[in-house]
Amino acid sequence: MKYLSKFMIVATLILGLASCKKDNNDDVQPVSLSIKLAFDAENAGFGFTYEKTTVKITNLTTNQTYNATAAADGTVTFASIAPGNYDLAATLAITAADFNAKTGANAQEDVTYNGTLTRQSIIANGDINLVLKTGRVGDFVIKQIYYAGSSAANGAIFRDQFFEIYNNSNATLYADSLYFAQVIGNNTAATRVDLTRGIFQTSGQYDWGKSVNMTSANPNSAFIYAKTVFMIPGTGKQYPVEPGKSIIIAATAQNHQSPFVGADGKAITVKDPSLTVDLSKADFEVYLGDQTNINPLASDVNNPNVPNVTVIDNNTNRDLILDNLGRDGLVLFKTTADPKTWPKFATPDDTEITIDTKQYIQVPIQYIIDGVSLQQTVVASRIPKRLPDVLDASETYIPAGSYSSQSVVRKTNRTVGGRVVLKDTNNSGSDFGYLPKADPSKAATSFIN
Amino acid sequence: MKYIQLLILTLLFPAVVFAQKTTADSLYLYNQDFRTINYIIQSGTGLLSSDISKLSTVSLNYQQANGHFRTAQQAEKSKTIDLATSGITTLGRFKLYGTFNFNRSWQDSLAWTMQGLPNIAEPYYYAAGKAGKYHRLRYTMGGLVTYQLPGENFYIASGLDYQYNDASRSVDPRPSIQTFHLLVSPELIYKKEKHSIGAGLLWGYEQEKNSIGYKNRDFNQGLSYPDRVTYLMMGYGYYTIGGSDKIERESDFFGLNLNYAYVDSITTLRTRFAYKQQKEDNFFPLANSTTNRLFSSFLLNDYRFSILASQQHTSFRHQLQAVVNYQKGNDRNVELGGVNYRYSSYTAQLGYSIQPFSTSSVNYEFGFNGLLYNQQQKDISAAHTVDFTYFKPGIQATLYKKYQNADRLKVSLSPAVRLPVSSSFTVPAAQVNVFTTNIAYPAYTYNTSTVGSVDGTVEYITSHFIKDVRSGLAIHSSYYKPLTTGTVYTGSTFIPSKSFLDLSFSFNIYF
Repeated sequence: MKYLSKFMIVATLILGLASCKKDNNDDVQPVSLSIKLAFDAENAGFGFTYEKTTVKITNLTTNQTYNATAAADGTVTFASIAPGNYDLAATLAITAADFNAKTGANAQEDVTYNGTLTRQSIIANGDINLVLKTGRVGDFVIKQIYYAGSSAANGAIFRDQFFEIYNNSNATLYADSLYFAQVIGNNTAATRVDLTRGIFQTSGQYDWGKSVNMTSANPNSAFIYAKTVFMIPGTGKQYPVEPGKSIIIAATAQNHQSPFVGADGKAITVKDPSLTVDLSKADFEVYLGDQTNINPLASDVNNPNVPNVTVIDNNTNRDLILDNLGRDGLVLFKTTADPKTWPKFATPDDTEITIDTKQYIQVPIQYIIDGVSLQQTVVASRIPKRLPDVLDASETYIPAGSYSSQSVVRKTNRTVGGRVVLKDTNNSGSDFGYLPKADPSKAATSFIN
Repeated sequence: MKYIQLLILTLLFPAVVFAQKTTADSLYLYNQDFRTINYIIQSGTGLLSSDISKLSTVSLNYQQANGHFRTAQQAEKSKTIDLATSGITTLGRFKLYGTFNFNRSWQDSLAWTMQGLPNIAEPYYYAAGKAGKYHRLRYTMGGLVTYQLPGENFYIASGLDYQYNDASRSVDPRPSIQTFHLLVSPELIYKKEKHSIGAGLLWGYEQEKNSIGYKNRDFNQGLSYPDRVTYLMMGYGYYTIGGSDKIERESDFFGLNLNYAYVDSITTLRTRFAYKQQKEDNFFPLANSTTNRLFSSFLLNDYRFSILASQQHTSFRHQLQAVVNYQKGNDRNVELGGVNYRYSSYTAQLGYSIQPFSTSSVNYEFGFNGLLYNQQQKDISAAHTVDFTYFKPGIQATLYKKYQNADRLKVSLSPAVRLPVSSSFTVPAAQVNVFTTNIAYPAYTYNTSTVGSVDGTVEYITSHFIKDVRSGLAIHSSYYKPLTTGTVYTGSTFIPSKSFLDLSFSFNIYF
């Protein structure tokens, strides 16, 4: 019995010690974030008010978003948010009339200013400055991108990828000599980038200034770097696109819902046709079967009824292959120059240039009409943003992820006389929504609000 | 063939080295002796205080468990094969204990945890809703060495504990986890007459690599198939969604312990206080880099105090066993800039048994035991808090029969009932998430249920299986059945129900 009493004494001591209350000062606490908006140098003097600026912050772990509107002095306060890493995005739409009155310009559409900061660590009360910039609002815009592809087991994987270019203006445009390019970037999840290597910007994206032989000023903000460049052919006015109309660029212009014969003579089929799309009526296709620098894909079959785009630089890609995971960016540009003569650079992690080193055409952003930055669906895999803010303030992605048959599609802004005007604020995160199944029909079903 | 023989000899090393000529079967047969053996091998003080100079056993076990009365993070079915050897021997000034265990298990329908070694306190682990088959492989080696210093009263000792564990499964998402740990625990012991007292330290290191892969590309990096989505749990409700991914963790252990033993011909008293601290760092391996990025730490303090006391009278021997264990831990989440997860638990366990001596061939042992258990987990960001306490009283009766040919039989039965004492679980409706409905709700139902359980053992030891060697067969079973179902929340995706049966068969050789 004496053992029992001794045991009870020690037990009581230990449990008593255990139950001692301590102040948990280290516990995670909600934090207050104050954002101070400012226009960039080019626009600071026009006297625009900040009042209608909407600010969205997105927690990069939970995907939770918080929204607020700026006060007249350009301050935005999020009084109580969970600490963590956040993307910040501010958007201010100024009416064309107001913009013209204050700048003396002649804008036909409302002008949108965007400001973004990515992957900001917010673990204590603090202030952040956010600069609002405006970019070019395109007449040609990218309406739809079907990058996810369809089921690897039952669908067409990536063979059925396409994207859609839309005339968002009120005048007929010509697609002749319109270039489109995929943007190269660091595909590593932002949380897995070793910033100490000295070849990355703080966002985790490549610091192109560290590329071998780089001499350009502002290499990260004044240019994008293209892993592929293609051009729509034409004589100048061969391919008109009327206002509110679009063209489809197919990776392979085949009806992917039906079997077709591959370049190797073997049938290419899908188990579930409902997962994929008919691209046999696409306006253009990317055909690389005649390229000498690659071993072409058997599925890259030339459809004689669909014109091929001109290959400027396929960079050993075997077809137009958009990254199924969303680690990609797409831009449209027009230039009278020959992009083949533009400088090419290797990514900064290549420290030695050999004959086998992949190099990427440096595209000046002043030629770029529209750009869309894509992103991984899964939050933990999100990659560093690859387009400068003036081209695209934030990325878009489909909710279901790779091989889901979904596509991202630009939202309808308004309808003018039966013509749909798509939302174009240079902020894909808010400009785009998604279609549960990609739709190359150009019909009303391919528009969303 | 030579290699196989060598392998078998290596695996049986502890038993072969420590084998003695006198039979040790009774020490493993009688519950009180068995408890004593398990107690003394925890420290050099315990080992030295025992008059057991030689003892060895080799055991081959097959275990299977199945049932629906479980948490969502436990397998519906599992099978385990286990080869274990252990032994004690004395060589001059040295006294040694050694153990080796090889364990291979298969689990079916295990979901919502991809931990390599199941650990309820651990906040950082991968999980997915898809139930699947797991394959686990574990090697454990360890031992104790004590050495008598000149001067007769002082001894030095050191314990060693090595473990390697590998876990994987064959459905997407596919985890692959390798865990290795090594603990060393030196001890200085003073022994005089009937008293032994020792003080020891503990150092250790653990490393674990976790990777998640997918074979089917449709499932990776998407949300189309919710059960295939991989979550990185980071607390008790706070998580992020990932796909193919990797994390690595490293733990440093530090501890100290005090041990005391009093042994005379009538009374034995052994006590032990042990403190162990685990400091765990979790890293994201960085791409194309030898550097890892620390994203969280987890600190766990463990305090354990135990007593084992026996008293021998002319007509009976009785034994008291008591354990108090308290664990307290918290994480530090780099991204959140502070502590997001807190964990604590305590266990208070008391057992008593009495074994009357009889000249007849039949002996009995009776006892009772009680367990009080409390667990608290709190996730600050996810606003999840759980706190539950249960009390589990039980009784135990064992029959020992000795046959004329020296064969022995043991039949033991231990019914118990687990009674919820207090419980609470809070989460704001707006913060109910995947973790809540799939893991926390079912666990709370499980832990707040009133449960009846029966443990049973039948063991037979004979010299007939192997000539001149004592060996035996044993069957152990544990059966759990909810008498009343605990709190069931709307939205819970899994409700523990029916029963759970854990059955094992073992063949044991005693040297």
